Amino acid sequence: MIKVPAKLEKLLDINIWIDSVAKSLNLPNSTSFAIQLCCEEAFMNIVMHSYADASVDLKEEDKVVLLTIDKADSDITLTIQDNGLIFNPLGAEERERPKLLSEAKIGGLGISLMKKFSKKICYESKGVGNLLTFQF
Amino acid sequence: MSVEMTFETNSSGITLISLIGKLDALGAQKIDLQFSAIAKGHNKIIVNLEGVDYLASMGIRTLIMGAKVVEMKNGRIVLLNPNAEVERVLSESGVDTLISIYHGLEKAEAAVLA
Repeated sequence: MIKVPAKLEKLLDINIWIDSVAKSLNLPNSTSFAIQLCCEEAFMNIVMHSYADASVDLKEEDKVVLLTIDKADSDITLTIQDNGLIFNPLGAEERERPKLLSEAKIGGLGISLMKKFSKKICYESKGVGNLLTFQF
Repeated sequence: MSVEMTFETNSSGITLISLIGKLDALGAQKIDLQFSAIAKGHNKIIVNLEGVDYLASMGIRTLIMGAKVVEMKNGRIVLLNPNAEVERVLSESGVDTLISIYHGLEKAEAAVLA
């Protein structure tokens, strides 16, 4: 488990933590890569949206993200929890793939990458904050 | 490790940008300005991804923004030698249909000179 402030630079701490968990669980590189990618995309959403709104009435020290990775048999589970604005990324509309570079919009790729690189994603909101659970 | 970027232009006018490390949000933030400046100043660009062991959406954003600038000048930009995982990110996000990917420097050079 790791708890970090929702700040971009904390991505480094998360990556170091994932590397160490991946080593201790002896995960294949492709799984470790997928976990890192899903973690980053979800974490960046939280940094940019969940706590970014001025209406979020939280003390700075409560703007945190809690991450866990567990292994049961062959299933790897990653959870990412925050206290920010309610946002279900799975309900967000996926952007169509552009066919031309000139039409390519910047952003919006994170959610489709999370779906492609995990077996299953669940979203829960318990009134305050958001909980994303990934299976790999 | 974050990402390191170097670039050089050869006698054929091809600029080879080499990236090494993680092209995550932190890596993208680190190289964004310089990558964009190189894209503005050069018309035949090969981005060597051989040393990149990780790519996320913010890194894709950097590549797309640079490619847009090059395309607006009718220049050419291609990606070279991504590893299997990085190539999967590029294909799952549809980037491979917007910026061509080559394995082998000669093929990439022929593509930007065409």
